[in-house]
Amino acid sequence: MRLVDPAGGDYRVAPGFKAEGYGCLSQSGPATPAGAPDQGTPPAEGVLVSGSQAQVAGLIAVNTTWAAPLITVTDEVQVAPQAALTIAPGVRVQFAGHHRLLVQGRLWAVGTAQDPITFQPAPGHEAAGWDGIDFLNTPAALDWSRLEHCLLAGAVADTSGAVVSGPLVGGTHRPRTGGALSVVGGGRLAVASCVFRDNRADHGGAVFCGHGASPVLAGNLFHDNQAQVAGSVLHNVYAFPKLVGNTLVNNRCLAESAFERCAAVDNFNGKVMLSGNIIRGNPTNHYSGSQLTECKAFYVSDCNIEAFSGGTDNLDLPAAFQGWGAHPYRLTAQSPGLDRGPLDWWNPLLAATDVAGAARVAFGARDLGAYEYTGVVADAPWEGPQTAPLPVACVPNPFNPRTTVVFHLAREEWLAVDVLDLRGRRVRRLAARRFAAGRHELPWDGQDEGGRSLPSGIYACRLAGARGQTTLKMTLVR
Amino acid sequence: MPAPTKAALARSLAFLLVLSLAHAPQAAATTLKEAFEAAPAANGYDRYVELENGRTYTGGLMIGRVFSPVANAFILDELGLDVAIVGNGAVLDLQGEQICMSYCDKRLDISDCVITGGNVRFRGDNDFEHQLIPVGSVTHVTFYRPHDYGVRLQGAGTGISIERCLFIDVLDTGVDVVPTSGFSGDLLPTGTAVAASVQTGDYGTPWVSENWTYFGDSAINAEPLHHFSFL
Repeated sequence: MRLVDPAGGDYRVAPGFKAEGYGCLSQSGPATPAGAPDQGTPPAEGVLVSGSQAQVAGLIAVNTTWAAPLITVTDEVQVAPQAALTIAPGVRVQFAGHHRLLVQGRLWAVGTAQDPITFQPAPGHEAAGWDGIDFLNTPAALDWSRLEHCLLAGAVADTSGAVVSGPLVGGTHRPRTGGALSVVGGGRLAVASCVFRDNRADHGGAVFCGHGASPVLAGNLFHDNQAQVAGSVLHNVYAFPKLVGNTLVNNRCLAESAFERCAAVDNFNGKVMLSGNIIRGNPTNHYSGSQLTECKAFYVSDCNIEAFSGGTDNLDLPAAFQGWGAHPYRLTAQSPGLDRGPLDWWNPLLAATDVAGAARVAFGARDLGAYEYTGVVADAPWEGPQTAPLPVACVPNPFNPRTTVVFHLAREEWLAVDVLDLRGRRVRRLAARRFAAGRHELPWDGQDEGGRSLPSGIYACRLAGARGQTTLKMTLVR
Repeated sequence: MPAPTKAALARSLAFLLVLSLAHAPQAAATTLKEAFEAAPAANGYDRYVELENGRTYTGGLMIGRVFSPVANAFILDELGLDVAIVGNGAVLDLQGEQICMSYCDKRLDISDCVITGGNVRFRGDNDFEHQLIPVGSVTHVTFYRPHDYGVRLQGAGTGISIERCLFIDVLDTGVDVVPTSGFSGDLLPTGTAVAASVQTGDYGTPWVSENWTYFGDSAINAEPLHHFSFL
């Protein structure tokens, strides 16, 4: 080796090597390694907002704790750089209008699986939604901000595509991206064992990261988020988020152009580090159906990603989710990601328990995705989609060359209805939209997307929605 | 010895990281951002960042503007700063991030430190509306297994010097796609010690002198484009 001991932190040029006099000159010995990340220390409680319920708005200039079981946000709340906002476990934060929580200091919202903290629109404000949580240039020297066991649902970033006002880096305008969470620049942020669902934005249905931000997103479940254009879960611009042990499933890009940038994770001039995640079943209209856009394979390892073949030690196998109950994305004994969770330095930032409350390490190892398989099928209470088997039929079956897919919905919901070949490749999309409750019929003419007649054989009709997916075998006999 | 594969390199890096953390004294983590934000204005710079010998600083640094694909425009709020990073022998473990001077006519000077796990990037743009071309220097820096490149100049050239640096085993992380605009949009293979790209006729020629680059893999070492690439 031409350096003294780089593995030990000593990068000095070895004596006698010709490059003496080049490179760093002043290193005097092995450097002390940076410490492993901790989980941060809870801030001092400060002003206590208690009682059975409370209304809040405006600037938080000193440490404050929201402990009232119901907090109603009536206008924008801003946490100043020197202040910290703590939210107690079990608190329901509801936004009575399209307001946001702007954090320039610290936010400590650590719930439990039994008592999650929820961020949702107040009743009557569901259509407009709330405006998300913005971490904006938080000072780098601050201790960690942390969201753990939180539900972030029903947030809506501006979907018009317009540039709207908001105080950014020096303060005038920025495009509004990231439905529930926006992280721009700034310091330490960990988001662990949270659920992001039903959030919407043009870019980044659930999350936006920009301008050098490097949050750690660990063990979270992202489902049913929507981007009008790109990044149904994450839109990343010039930033370096680390995603470990998350499940990204059933999020949608709605752009109708087959050539529009989309994907569940959309990266633009940044680096998204993906490790130990399950990223599957996030439909787009893009011709490739990519789950990732511009994510470098080098930074993608130990994941289960649909239609992704690069990176290190990644899988592309059906996730075998439970598919029913309060936690339809919980793993089963057939899930291919059991005990394949990676060891890396983000692990201290994972919560001790998964979204459902199971210990994050079971059977001596960690699983891929947001859930840890424990062999237990009982469900913990959680505000999640309640599921039941989806009745579907194909009439006639076998058929030549036309048939009709018939299904019934107990309630309105979004579904993607696809025809797959025996190798699991989509050959035709019959629909991808919201269906009203009731009976629906979708005809199929036995042709692929290009209008070519498909040969005789067995095909599968897949209905994928918030409740998981159902497949039906169909036989085309010409 | 056979050349290590990219996957093997990534794995061994991760292993070394875990191993080093497992046996390391738990010093307080210090990020480069923290040092930057705490740095005073001095010697003509807006931020004069003096690092400490024997310490490891983690994470990267973004200085200047970014280009928004949503607005299809530069986010002009951040004007950039003149910054000096005086390493004093410190180690910068960028952990996959970058030190990036982006789309501003400011100066970044880096000297006398070790950089690993990332890279230094000067990026600029010069069009009818904007003259956003950074300048600066990288001097006496050891780049040990940097990601992508050691130093990349992208829409920048004149006024940048890279001297007496040592580049060791730059990691090829795969194609670097940068579809920002017609002026700075380009695509380069990674794994290059110094990469200069995009219409240097518009941006001038940097001063790259008296540097030493090598790769442990003899086949890569023999390939000139891994030492200096120019698009």
